[in-house]
Amino acid sequence: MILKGVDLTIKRGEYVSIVGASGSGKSTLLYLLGGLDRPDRTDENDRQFTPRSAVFIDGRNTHDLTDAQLALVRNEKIGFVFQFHYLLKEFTAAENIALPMFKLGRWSRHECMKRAVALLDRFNLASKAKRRANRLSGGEQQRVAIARALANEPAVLLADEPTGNLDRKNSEVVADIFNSLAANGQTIVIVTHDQSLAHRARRMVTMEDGSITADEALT
Amino acid sequence: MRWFISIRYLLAHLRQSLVCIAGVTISVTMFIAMTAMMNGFTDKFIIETVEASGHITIHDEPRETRTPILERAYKNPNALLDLEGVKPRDKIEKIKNPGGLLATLRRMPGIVAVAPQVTGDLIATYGTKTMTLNIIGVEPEQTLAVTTIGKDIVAGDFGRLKTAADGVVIGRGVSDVLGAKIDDIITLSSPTGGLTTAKVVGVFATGVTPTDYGRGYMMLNDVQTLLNKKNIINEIIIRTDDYTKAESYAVQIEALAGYKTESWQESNANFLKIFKIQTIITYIITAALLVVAAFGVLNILIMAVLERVNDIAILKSFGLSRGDVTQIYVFQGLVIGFIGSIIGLGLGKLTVEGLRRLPIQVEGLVKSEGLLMSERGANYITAFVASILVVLIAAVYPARRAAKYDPVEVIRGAH
Ligand SMILES: Nc1ncnc2c1ncn2[C@@H]1O[C@H](COP(=O)(O)OP(=O)(O)OP(=O)(O)O)[C@@H](O)[C@H]1O
Ligand SMILES: [Mg+2]
Repeated sequence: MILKGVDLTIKRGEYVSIVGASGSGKSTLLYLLGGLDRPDRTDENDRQFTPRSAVFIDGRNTHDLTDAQLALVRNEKIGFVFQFHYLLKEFTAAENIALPMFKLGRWSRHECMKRAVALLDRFNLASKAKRRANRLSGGEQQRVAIARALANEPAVLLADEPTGNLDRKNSEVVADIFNSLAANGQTIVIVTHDQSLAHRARRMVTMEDGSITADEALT
Repeated sequence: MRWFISIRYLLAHLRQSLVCIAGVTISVTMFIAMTAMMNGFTDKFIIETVEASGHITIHDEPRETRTPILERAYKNPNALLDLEGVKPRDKIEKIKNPGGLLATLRRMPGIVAVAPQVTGDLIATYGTKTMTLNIIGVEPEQTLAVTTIGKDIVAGDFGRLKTAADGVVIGRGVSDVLGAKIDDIITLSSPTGGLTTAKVVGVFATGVTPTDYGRGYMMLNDVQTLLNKKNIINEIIIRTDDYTKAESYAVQIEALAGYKTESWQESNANFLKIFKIQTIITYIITAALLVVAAFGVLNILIMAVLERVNDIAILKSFGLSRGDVTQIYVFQGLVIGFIGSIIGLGLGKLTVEGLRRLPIQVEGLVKSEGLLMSERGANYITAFVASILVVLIAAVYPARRAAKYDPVEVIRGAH
């Protein structure tokens, strides 16, 4: 039981940053929001929390879904970006982006690959489409990972320290990408220690010891 | 998508994957080649035995062995009585009214031909060479209708038994051991004192060693005289319309005739048991090879899971379920099993054809030019299904282990 009395709603089109000291529960909150984890329903003494702990993604309680259904929700509605890129090294950049689309099954194989190349093009990586993921630079890899998170046009992009492993220049590039995505109406939540990145968002949530201590709009 | 990922993962470890495929291939090839060879010799033995000795033989004795005289008098087995030196009664054994029985048998459905014969052991001598001969007294036309011994003649003629006075047809092995060729005169003596000379009018070779090295044929009358069994028939051999059904026919005939009636399966039970043991050993060897191959698969798949924990976590984060991840690994096993066994079936077939063409003289229980190969479709199917199944079972543990990883733990752990 790490989070206490957290009540957070992210609306469509918002660009939110979550900041706070290490261990304050930022990542935990993000994984819960993305349906990668489900909140405990009872405390260590088996007592129900009041009010009940629950996470709703697009109106659906993650507790009401089976593992397979929750996986489908992640596939369709959530795009995750982590500190490390987690690209599949045996696959090309374009294939890495196409994999979530293959799972979704909305487009044909051929269309998936075309969409993947188009996404890469948005991040100036079209020339690297056929390159193995492990042959890309760190900055390129993180941009491919962001492209992958956007593959199925998710309702929300969730990023946990997306610049945590990048140098200043690459961090700038990633920050610009988030800005332009947000400008196009993409809902984004980022967890970060990077103050300049955090302040580019339009809403900033501050956490301390598992609780939200500040929730302010930025201008 | 699952196949796509599986194949890519297998290709990433191409060398190990090929080793695993080779393991499955070797097991399947071995199985195909070994079973084909065993079946070849078993079939040859069965066909030759059945064809040369008849499908069913009626003997001149009742099936139950007689209870010793003491036990008949004293039912209590703990009785303090003993009778030593009990000898078998020296009673002339014979089939009573053989003519009537033969006529009845000929009318039975499923029976193609019957032939009476009298059998016994003789000592055959030629020059200084001596050996025991299991002599069969026959009516040639009738015996030729029941057996294919006429086709196995390699020198002389079975029919000359009738025309030549005191003619004998002997197996090739007998001929080799004695050194007696066609038209040579050999001496035959019986334990009951009969003695005669006989001219070799034919030599047969069935390919079944015990038969070729121990059997001789003479006219029924000659043998009856020689063995001191005047007018006695002690065996009737029978040809049926289907030798695989001999056992059930034998039961019917025994009920009718009242004499011990043996199918070829019963007469050759010892040999058939050897074949069965051979088959079991083949299965054990192949199973052991397959288990080794399965451990290879288990090994590379566990490795493929351990080094792809991050992949599994991210696959789950973007929407793959436990089932999807399980299948990705099971498919890898399936591909190895499938490719391995298909190549194995092909190589097995090639090995069978190659062995068939090897110019080797085989002399054991069966004698033949070259290795005898007999393939069965069922063996191919067994090999295919068994290898895929075993590899699949080996893939299940790594696959389930892969599916169990919690992406949150993996992603936190990377920090
Ligand atoms: N599996 C777990 N079981 C129990 N406690 C955990 C587990 N994982 C993390 N924690 C604890 O939960 C708290 C919140 O962790 P979390 O990773 O959410 O923090 P964070 O705000 O993301 O920190 P950082 O900025 O260092 O990434 C920490 O005190 C951590 O030790
Ligand atoms: Mg964190």
